[in-house]
Amino acid sequence: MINAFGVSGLVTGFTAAMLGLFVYIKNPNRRLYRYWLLFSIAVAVWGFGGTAISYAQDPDTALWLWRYSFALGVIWIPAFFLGFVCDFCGITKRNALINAVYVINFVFALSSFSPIFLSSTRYSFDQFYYGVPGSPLFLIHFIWWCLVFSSSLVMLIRKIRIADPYKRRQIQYTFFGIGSGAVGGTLNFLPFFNIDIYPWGNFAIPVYTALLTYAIVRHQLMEIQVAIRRATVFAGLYAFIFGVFLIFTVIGQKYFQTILHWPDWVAMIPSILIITLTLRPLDRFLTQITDKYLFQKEYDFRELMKLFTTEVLTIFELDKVTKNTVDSLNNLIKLESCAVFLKNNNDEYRITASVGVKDTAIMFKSDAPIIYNLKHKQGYVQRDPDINTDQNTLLLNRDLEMIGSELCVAISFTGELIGFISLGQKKSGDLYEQEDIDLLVSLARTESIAISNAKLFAKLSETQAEAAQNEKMAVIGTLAAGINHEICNPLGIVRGQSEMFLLNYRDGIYGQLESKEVLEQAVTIFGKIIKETDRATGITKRLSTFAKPNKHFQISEVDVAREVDEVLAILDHEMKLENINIAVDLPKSFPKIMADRKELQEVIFNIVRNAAQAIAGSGKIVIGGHRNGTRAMITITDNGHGIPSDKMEKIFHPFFTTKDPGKGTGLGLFIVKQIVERNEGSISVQSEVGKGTEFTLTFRLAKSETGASETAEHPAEKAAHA
Amino acid sequence: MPKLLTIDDEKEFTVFIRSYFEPRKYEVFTANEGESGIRIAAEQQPEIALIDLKMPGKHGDVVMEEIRKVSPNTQAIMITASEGFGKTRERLLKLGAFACFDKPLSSLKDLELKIKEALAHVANRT
Repeated sequence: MINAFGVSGLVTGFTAAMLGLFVYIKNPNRRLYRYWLLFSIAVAVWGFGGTAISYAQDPDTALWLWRYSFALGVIWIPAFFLGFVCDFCGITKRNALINAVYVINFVFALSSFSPIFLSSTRYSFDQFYYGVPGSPLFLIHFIWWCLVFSSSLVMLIRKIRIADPYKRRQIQYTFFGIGSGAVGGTLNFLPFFNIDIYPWGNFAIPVYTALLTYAIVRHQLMEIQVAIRRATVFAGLYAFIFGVFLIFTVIGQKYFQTILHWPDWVAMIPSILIITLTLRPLDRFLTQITDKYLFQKEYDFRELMKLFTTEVLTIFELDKVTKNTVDSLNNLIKLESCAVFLKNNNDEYRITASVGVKDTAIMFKSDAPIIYNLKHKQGYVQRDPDINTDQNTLLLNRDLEMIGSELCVAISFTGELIGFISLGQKKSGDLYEQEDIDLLVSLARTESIAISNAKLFAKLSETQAEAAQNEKMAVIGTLAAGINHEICNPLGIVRGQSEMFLLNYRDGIYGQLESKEVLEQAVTIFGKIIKETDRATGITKRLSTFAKPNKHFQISEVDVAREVDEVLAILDHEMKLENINIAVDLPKSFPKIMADRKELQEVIFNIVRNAAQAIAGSGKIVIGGHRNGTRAMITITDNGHGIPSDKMEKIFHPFFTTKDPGKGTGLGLFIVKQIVERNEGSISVQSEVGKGTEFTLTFRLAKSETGASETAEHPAEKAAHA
Repeated sequence: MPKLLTIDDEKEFTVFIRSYFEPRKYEVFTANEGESGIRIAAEQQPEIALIDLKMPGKHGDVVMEEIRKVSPNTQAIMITASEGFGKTRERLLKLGAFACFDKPLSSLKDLELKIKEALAHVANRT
């Protein structure tokens, strides 16, 4: 017949065994875990022993069971616990004291089979048989038992004082857990000395498994990590099942037997039913809460890599790269904190992006322990929670604690440490496993590529901006010559005519003439003044429109001939000076195109200028065009020196120029191509050295033109489009 | 009557010079590019030649040199667009120009005075 003592023993045995096994399986090689297993087995033996005892039907079986429980279980509990605590506190050397403890324990264990230990049993609490001591040896053993246990607990207390907060928490849980278990266990001894208090204390023993399980799960006690979480869920499940089963069998037995007079096994049926029905939902529920409250979800490695490739590797702005890095890591791995440190020009490592870091002004010099270790260890450093380590590790730990870091991964480029990623504790409380570290190290490699890309891009943009500015200046130079001529000339004429009239009047030239004739002269002169003023205004307007930056890019229907005229008006003077003849050969039926007016002007301006520069001496530039199906083609042909075939494919590349250094920016045609393509057009070139070059610009027809184009389309083209 | 040759690709300018100086008793010859200007200079041996510096074809300074060869007594007055910041002026004066004037003319009167000066200079020489 089952009773409370038996139930408590079962729970103890079960949970202790499970906890012991799970820890051991984590790493059978670790001595700490081995001690733990031994300790757990000892407790489990006691637990199951207790259950068996509660079932024992006769005093002899009970005595036998008590002896074995002691010999293999109870006696060893404090001894193995001592071994565990010693290893936990870093006393790895087996010293004489501990050996002595084991020897004494062995003696006690042997003695437990003899009547001097336990001589007989007595029926107690109306439930089961309790052991009876055979001599003072039992009391001695009891005192010894308490002594050993207490000294272990004292060792733990001492360790709390000197441990870091991380370890302190673990120790606290261990202390209270084991402590309560020990107290419970101690109370169990009372009936041996005829102090008949029901061994409710036995229920206190599994408290330790609960507390320690929690300490493992939440605070990495014994450095146990993630996988055990799933086991917690299932441990909870099994505990529940077992509990339900137990309750029903106990109640059921009473109910079905006394009232319905059903046999025992029938009582099991409702239990089984409930368990099968609630198993899955309970599993889901438990997984859910643990996910929610313990952040148990493992992160998806693939997801992280994917995120990194899209959010970090493809970005060219340095600030964005580092910010996206911390955000990606933080979101996917769920960290307490994360930061990216980069080396600046003063060889200092500073935070460029962070989440959850309090002091963002923190800085490490090249000789800081953290930097030194990152450079010389395998590309990462991890905080070592153990305090009994060498000086280097202690200094390193201090640096890491300053930034709240659990793991730092180096970002290296061509052998140089350009920065590092600092990861704080995972919210789930898990430690970083080798899998994590390997992944993060490879992520750090992509990070270094992204960072150096961003830096190069910034430099390139700077150079490009400089070059673009130089190009602008060159264009302005061309314009300036035109400005001077096109504006100063008309103004000169205005002035000249006005001055001439005044001087003529003063010098008496008009003396002979009649007033009417003088007035006529004046009228002619004023007419000229107006004409020239208009001319100057026209050119000023044209130039100012041309020179204004194109703030609003707008594709609209554009009359090509008109835009060409505008451009040529600006270039006219320079062309004349260079003895270059420009002709416009656009058919009257040339259709309107879809483009941004100003950008089209810019394109034509640049290509004509290019053509003019290709012509040494005198030459000819022809601007022509024709319609081609749904497209309009504009051609600019010159009879300059042409482009050699080996340079043809490079002419649209940025910074490619055939001019002497400092003379050409190499950006002209590159910019032209960009503008053309931005206007949904395309540019191509044909050239023959010594003969000349022809640029062809292709643009979309204006919508109003495409109506007609449909009918004009060649049947061959129609087939091609179909 | 002093002979004044004006060479400028801007027809407006040459017409303008003629309309100002003819009533003031100058014999004015005009050319709109270098070659014909040199030809007229050879033929007419003008005392003054007003030469525009920036012309298509032969540049003004070349024209000046060639006129010097065919008409050594001609005083050249260069009309320059205001650029070169004095360097052009220096160079032209070194080459033998009598004077340089910026275009657009800041003062017609000053030009007239300079021409009178040049004529006096020629008169002193011969």
